[in-house]
Amino acid sequence: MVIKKYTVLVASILALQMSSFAQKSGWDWKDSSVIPVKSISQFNEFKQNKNPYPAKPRNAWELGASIGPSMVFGDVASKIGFGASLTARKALNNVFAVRFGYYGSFNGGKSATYDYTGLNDLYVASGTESLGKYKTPDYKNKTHQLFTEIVASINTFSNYRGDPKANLYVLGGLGIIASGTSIDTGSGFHYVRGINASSNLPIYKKQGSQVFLLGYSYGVGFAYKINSQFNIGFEQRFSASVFPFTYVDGYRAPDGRKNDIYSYSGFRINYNLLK
Amino acid sequence: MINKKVLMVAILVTVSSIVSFAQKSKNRTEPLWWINPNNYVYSELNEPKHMKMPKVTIPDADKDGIPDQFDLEPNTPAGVPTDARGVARDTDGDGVPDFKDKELLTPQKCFPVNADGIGNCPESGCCTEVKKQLKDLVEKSLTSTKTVSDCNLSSLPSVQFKGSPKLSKDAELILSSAAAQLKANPGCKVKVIGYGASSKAAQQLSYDKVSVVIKYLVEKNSIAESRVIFVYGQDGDTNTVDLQPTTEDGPNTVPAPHPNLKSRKK
Repeated sequence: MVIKKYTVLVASILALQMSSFAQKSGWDWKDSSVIPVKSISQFNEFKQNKNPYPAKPRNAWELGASIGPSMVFGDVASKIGFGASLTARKALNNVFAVRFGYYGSFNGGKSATYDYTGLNDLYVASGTESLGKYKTPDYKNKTHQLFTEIVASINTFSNYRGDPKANLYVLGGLGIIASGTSIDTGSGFHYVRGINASSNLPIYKKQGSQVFLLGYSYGVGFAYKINSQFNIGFEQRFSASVFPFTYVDGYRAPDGRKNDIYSYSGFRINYNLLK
Repeated sequence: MINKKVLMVAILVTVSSIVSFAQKSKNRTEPLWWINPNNYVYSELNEPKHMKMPKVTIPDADKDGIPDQFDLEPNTPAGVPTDARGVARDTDGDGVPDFKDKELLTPQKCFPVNADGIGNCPESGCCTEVKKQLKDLVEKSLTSTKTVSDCNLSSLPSVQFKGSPKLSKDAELILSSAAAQLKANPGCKVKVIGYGASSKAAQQLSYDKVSVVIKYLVEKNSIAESRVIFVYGQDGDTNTVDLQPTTEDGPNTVPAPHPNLKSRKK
């Protein structure tokens, strides 16, 4: 209920503030009001034909929100989870932009029985299954991510059309992942609190909290311009810990992956903070 | 659970502060990835509004002021006055331009003219007779008033100066035609009258102008100096020097009135 309350609050504040903006589009090189003070001398020189290059205009922040399915690529078969994000993106130039974002997701996995009979199994995760043949536990995961990403537009500057209507981009970044995983140990869900350094096994606790990880991310996205203020898009983004962490799904399989990866497919709506 | 609260509050604060910052800030363009930087270049190529264009020069080979494109006579000699189509002026329309025409005003009945622009009219017998009678009559009347007049010229054009005693191209042309008329009338003398009596300087200036005119007539057009009468310092327009055909006698040269005030402009 707490989450819902705040989400509604954020949404309503945003909606109020956005609706108060007047619509404005295009870039007129003669318009000095979009030129930052430090570039005004270049602007004047350009206007008097003393410098061939126009000054870079002050450009708008883009606020974006998205929702979509989320998954974890780990050792346990993932159910389709739910994710959402809020981002603020600002262009550095016509290609590169920097984006600050929050990404939250609810993920889960379903138990399944795996037969590893005959393998020299060194890894026993929960300790409840016999070697060779075992059952993975159910898990639930709640993750918050705060990232700074560089977004590179891979549109070429068209010589045949004017301003682009669509924008294809790739992104990559670094950030903090707060991962909270709990697994069904048979006596209810217990949180993975950390890893025991000597046994290399996870530590479970009844009272849970997040494990903080340094993460990296990469992805690809597409945006379509509706008007000068709004655009919609789709983005596929992956993120994982820089230092391999396999307990996002709360489990380490004998031949499992060393680093669990979050996948988030977001349907985006973006808004330009023009004035 | 505390994390959720803190996080949501943090997001709320961040987002609303970004929005309110953007609202307070100045005008912005769309994010740059929605702007094609080639737009400016191509707009200017399509319809220049800012580009500094080179000055347009229209070729005019003979420098008569009429561009070659419109010049019906693209090889007019330098300095020759032309009409609006770049053709050398031909006052009498005989087909021989003024600068080659030895008879500037040939009557149309005397056309066609020869290469020098001189008409083919023989002087009619009657005309000769009338002229002779007229001459006799004039001589008679002159004899009776004890003056000699055998000058048929009634008038000669005036020469205009622009301040300094220097002949313009037009003035030279006028003087050349006047000289031609004087040569055709050997009985005429010419009184060159300069104006300017208001001050010593003006008198000197009129003297200089008259000198220039006489010098041009004598040296360039071979008019005998004895046929020229020097008159200066009269009341009138100081930029005008009048040529007056006459049979009177008068001084061919006079000393400069105020040599110390001689114009230094040449």
